Amino acid sequence: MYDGVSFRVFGLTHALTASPKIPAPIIYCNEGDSVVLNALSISQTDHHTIHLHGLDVNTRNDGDPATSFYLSHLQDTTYSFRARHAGSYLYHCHVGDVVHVQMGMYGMIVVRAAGGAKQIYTGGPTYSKDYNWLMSEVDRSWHDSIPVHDTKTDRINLPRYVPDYFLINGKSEWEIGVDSTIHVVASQNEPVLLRLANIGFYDNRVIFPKYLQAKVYESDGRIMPKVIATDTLLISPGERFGVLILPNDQQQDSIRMEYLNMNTGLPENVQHIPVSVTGIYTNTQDVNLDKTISVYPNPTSGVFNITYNSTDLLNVELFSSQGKVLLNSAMIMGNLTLDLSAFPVGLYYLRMTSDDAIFTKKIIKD
Amino acid sequence: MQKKLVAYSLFVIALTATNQLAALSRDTIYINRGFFTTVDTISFPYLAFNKTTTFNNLNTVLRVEIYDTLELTVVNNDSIPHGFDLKGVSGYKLGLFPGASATVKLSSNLRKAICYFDPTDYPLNRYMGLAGMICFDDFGNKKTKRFYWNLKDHDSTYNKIIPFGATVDFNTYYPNYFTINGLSFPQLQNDTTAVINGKIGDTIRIFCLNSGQSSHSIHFHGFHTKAIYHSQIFKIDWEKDTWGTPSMETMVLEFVPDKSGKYSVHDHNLVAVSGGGVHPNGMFIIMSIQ
Repeated sequence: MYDGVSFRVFGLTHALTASPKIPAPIIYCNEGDSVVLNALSISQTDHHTIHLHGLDVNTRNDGDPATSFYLSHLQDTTYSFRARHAGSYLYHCHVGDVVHVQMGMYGMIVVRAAGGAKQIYTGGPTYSKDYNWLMSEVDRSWHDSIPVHDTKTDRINLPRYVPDYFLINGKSEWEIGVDSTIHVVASQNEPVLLRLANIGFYDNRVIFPKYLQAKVYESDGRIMPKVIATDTLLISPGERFGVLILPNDQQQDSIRMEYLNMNTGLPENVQHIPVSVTGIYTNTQDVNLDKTISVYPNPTSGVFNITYNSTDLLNVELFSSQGKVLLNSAMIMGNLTLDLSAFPVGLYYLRMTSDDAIFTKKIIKD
Repeated sequence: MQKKLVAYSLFVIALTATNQLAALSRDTIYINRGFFTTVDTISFPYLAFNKTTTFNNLNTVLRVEIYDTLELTVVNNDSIPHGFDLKGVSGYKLGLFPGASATVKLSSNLRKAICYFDPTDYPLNRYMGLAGMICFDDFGNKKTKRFYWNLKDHDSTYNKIIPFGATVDFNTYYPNYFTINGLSFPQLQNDTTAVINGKIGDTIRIFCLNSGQSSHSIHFHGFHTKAIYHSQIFKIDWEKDTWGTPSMETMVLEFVPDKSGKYSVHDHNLVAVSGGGVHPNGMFIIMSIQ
């Protein structure tokens, strides 16, 4: 841990020689893929399984010992699934799950859009980069004196759960700031996808700075019926969310991750995830939105037009090269005329955002 | 003998317009005191709304056809004052002295689950068990298979001292029993109103209330479910495999199984899959799809 404390863990690794880590490695695949996991148990004590959490597999592949089989020492098997929906999922041991999950036998499964496209879901809004955060907690006493799982009766006597460490991707406190899988580094206007998952026994309350313009597009591998713009998101154990952030300012700030005791509702810990936004992102392209928009003339001496061929509301923002918002408007199908006459010659950025797409274009005033 | 007293207040509110086929249905529920017996046979004091004057730790599930009007009489069969209210619906709050009764009317043109509860000394009487569901649906449609889950957590120590007027601190609450319809696994498997049993292609509908003090997170193996109603209205039409369910929220979930087999449903706060400190004697159900 960040404070030098170490303790025993159980783990899932990709190689026999690898040391178990919290969490297990992320399994990546693309929408439409058929995935086969080869599993071998080298636990000399308890049985194990791999539960494919959220992937809606049949009983055989569900990894639940209450309904299917488990692996004893040196037994192997395959688990398979079809990645039908882009989004984030989990895999974890389901034998004596409260203990085996606490011990560290869990990881994320990330299903990208078809073909590996950088879209939240196939045909959905594009993103420039993504971060996958898996939240959990550790009660060190459970690791120092592991609750015994009686495999004959399937019973475990549980001690009181009082977590000592509150984790994101197995990291806590100062380690978060130096972990490139957690620390968000982005540019203004850069669409960044955050896949957030909770495998702990506490609720997570995520609080985003307003300038990140967080929007929830997906949860548990399904597209949200309505995109939700929010600065606060509650993630209960087992839930996953796909959140797009689109910084509209250049700041050094943090996302607040609270760990709420589910019995009292009180936050017992807060982790701060650094967000560093510098420079302006200029490569945003959304294929679908691109087809419905034309901007002309460009370069312009002052006046230019936006023609938009869709009935979805389109928000239009014009930025200076320093990231300052100069003009802000909204339109639906038709034509919008903007005037740069009052501004100096130079480079400007036009950002157009609909509910499910983002499109950025350079405008040159000569 | 029941003494009929005037309640503190009585409101009659038709939530929605009714259609020509709307009918009036009458029901009575009694506030009863008794003892809750846990999965490991520990007993502690408990309260419940029941259909008769005989105590049962499962609060009555009231089923009402959409558009129909329910005329509900609530009788306080206990020795201390209680009350009645509907979560998220204004105008229904009333108080009931011991032996008193009062009648309310309500209807809905929407499929939904409403939580009814005792607001007196909130949250103590609700924590002691007084919370249940009124379910509105087209119950005449027998093709839909319906199941009912009342999620509840219990700290047996709290239940033993609250009736004596002791102060409890919910900021340090740590429940040791977790039930659905008053039962924990494995006894819960015998509750046919809770354990999903269906066939491929069936429409399966689950009416769910978290009447506990804790938040729960219900995870379905094998299937995503759609919220055709949720008391947190922004969640309506969400499709998920895991539902964070805060205290006193209700939801109506629906799915159509596309494969057979046995699949678990459980709280993914895995500590809540325990009872008396023993796992898996908590919120855990194995559903069966033929």
